[in-house]
Amino acid sequence: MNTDNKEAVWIVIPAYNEGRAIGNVLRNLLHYPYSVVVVDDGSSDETYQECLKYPVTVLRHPANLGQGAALQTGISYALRFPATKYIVTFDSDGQHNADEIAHILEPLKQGKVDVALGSRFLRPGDAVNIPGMKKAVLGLATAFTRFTSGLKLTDTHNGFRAITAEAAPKIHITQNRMAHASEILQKIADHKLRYCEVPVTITYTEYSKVKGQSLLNSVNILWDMMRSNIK
Amino acid sequence: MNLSQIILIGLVLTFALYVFRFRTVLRDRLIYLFLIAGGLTFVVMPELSTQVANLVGIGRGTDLVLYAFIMFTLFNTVGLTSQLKKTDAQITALVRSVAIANARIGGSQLTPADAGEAEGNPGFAKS
Repeated sequence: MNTDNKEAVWIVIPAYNEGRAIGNVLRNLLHYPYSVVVVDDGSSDETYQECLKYPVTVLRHPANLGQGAALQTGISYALRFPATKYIVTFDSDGQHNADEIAHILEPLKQGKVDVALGSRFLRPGDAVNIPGMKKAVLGLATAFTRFTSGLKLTDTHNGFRAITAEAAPKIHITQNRMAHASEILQKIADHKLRYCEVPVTITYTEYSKVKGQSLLNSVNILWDMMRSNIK
Repeated sequence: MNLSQIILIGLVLTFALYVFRFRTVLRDRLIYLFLIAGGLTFVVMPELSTQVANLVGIGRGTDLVLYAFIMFTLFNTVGLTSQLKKTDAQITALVRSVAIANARIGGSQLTPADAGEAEGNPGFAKS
């Protein structure tokens, strides 16, 4: 069974002010048999125009909502097509390697799991040039998420994921900002979805380091998680 | 620890439980009515606040009113936060449907919208 036709696999890329990096990411993806949808989350730079140069679907949020909201918009869009079988979430800043999409899809195609989560800590050397502070923050976040969701994971905040079209509606993201990573894991746990981790490389460039999340932002994430519990 | 401290801590905990578990708009409104009635009572009978305060171990009636005011403000803030949350969810749904309705395919290909409906939609001129 060949499921590698363009209609079956959708790559969802949330992008906010990534005009400088998104072109490269899309060019790399063109070599693979996947459909691509970029969700421009109300960028103030040339992200939207840049994306339109490539044969990909481009959605634009008329207002900036956050990465979680952008992901969900892309996922909702992909799910509108009956031929969609798998959805892959992919970063717009060039940190992820398009070659590895096939790896992360593998457990899904074998029917072993509903969700495959990328991890940069399964194999030594996958987190290329990871800054020490980043590693410490991710370690804390992973411990916290293991505790709250009960999932046994090595990397809880990795934007590289693959989901089957059947499972995707169960992981409807309501956390518009960065708390969506925890929300996704919580929903995997709540719906008892089958999951696994797949080793992926993350390349930290000067560019992605600037765009990355800071330690203080974890306060924002915790705040958003609390707020979502208010009735 | 005196009686007022126990009552206040109990109130805060009950409040948290209410906010995260049992909050409904109707219950909120009932609490508002109760608080307004309480406030009016203290206005009409100022000496009552001192009597109640002394009863629970607070020195002055003014302090009791202050504590009540803080609780009321907290309560009000939560109501507003909850409403904002709903508004946020509505905006998200709206933005999402606008984004999906205006989907475009880049490169040389045209979307159905570009080919047909775009003529009546100058906001999405071809680049």
